[in-house]
Amino acid sequence: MAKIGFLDKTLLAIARLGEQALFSEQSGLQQGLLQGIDVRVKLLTFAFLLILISISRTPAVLWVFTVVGIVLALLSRVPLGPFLQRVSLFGPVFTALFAFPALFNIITPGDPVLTLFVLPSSYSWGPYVVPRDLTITHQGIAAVILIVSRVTASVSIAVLLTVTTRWHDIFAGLRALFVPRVFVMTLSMTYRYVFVFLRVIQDMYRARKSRTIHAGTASLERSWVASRIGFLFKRSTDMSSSIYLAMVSRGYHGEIITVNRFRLSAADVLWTLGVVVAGCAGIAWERGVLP
Amino acid sequence: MHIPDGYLGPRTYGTLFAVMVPVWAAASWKLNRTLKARQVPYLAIGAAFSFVIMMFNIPVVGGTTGHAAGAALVAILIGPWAATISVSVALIIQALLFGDGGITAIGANCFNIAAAGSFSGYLVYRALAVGSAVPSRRGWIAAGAAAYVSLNLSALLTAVQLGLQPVLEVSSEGHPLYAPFPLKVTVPVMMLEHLLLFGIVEAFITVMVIRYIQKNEPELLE
Repeated sequence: MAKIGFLDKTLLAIARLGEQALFSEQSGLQQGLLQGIDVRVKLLTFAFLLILISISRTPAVLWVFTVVGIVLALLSRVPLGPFLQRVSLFGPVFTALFAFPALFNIITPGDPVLTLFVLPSSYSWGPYVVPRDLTITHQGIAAVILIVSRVTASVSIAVLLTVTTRWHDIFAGLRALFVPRVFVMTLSMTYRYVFVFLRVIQDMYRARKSRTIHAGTASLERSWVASRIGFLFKRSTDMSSSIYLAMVSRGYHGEIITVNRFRLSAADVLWTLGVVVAGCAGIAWERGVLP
Repeated sequence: MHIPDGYLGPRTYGTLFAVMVPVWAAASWKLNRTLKARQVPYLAIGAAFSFVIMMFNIPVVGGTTGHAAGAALVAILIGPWAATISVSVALIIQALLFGDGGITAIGANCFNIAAAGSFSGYLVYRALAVGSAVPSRRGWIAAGAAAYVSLNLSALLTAVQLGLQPVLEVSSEGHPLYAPFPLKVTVPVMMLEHLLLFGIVEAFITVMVIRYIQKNEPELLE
């Protein structure tokens, strides 16, 4: 007999996605610092920050980026609790677990800091060597601290972009930055229809759950899920034809015409200058160019 | 399997972006010729479908559940070029709006999952199913093999890119700057779990969906 946990899991995953999208929409509507920046400028400066984070080589500089991300979140009136929760889950928690084995000399050979135990001799199987002393190495600690700091800084900046920009603006910004219009329109339609499909799936799972008094065999439940995926595909092809006809009836013939209302303000120029100067100074200081 | 920001160095993610731009351009050119004005709604619905496939939890063993990644399934249903764009669009939305997968790693994730996953799945399916009738055993066996190969190829590419980091990007003190595990660790760890578990789940779900479509909506496979 299968358990019906898979029904709840899907319903919960859909609810979480909806909650996340709603959180971004709400905080994107706040009157804060980053919500006021032109979306083109925001996309370019955030891409610049992510590249700077990816070329930084010292944890201290990455910590500064993380703190800057948190301060900007505060100035943009982003609810700090959920923001920090998302950053810490993706960043320190997940990455620390992933990178933990790199502390040891089996993965990162180097100068020992702490010897955990000593085996009678070392062992090797092909390319794999278990050294005689199992130690935590200086290089291992440095590597783990660096990757955890880098991922945390990246996530804080990436989440900040997500929660201070409404989805519609992100796509409008991409269009203004010379991403082909067909691509941006596909992105934007996809985002809308993801929610339509999620609603369809939610209805199918809820209807199923409300009728279930006892779960069937695992293979029966699996066939049911597979049939729902197949059914959703059928429904999506029908939907794509209807949407196309609806677009044609409204005058669409393959040419995409958009209205861009972008105007750079003094705040946008100041923000760009601030990010570029501070970012370059940070990297120059790290590389020893600045005292 | 989505690589987050911070795991790949700039040389790796930059190269993979550079590889993906002409792939996207070629796919758009190709689809523009075949689909014409239908292109946008067709791809958007395909992308939304790719996005939500992962939401379908399926009971596996005991109380555990699994889900499919779906690149091979989408490629079998809408063709490899449309699948490359649709799965890429789904991955880009996940990265930009849901923080799932890195923004700097968009090129890498699209290369591994969208392009390699779709093309390998489609080629395996075509090679094994060519000439078979639509409701046929050969058809669904081919779909299962396609899903298994596609997911494992994506996993292998991801493992190789992560495993190359300690070779490509090392600090002056000799410690890795990005993902710290060498190839001899990333490849066996990733491949073991994908060959023995996730690949089988992927193949299983794909087979069941294709069998459902063969039986109920055969025109979608013609």
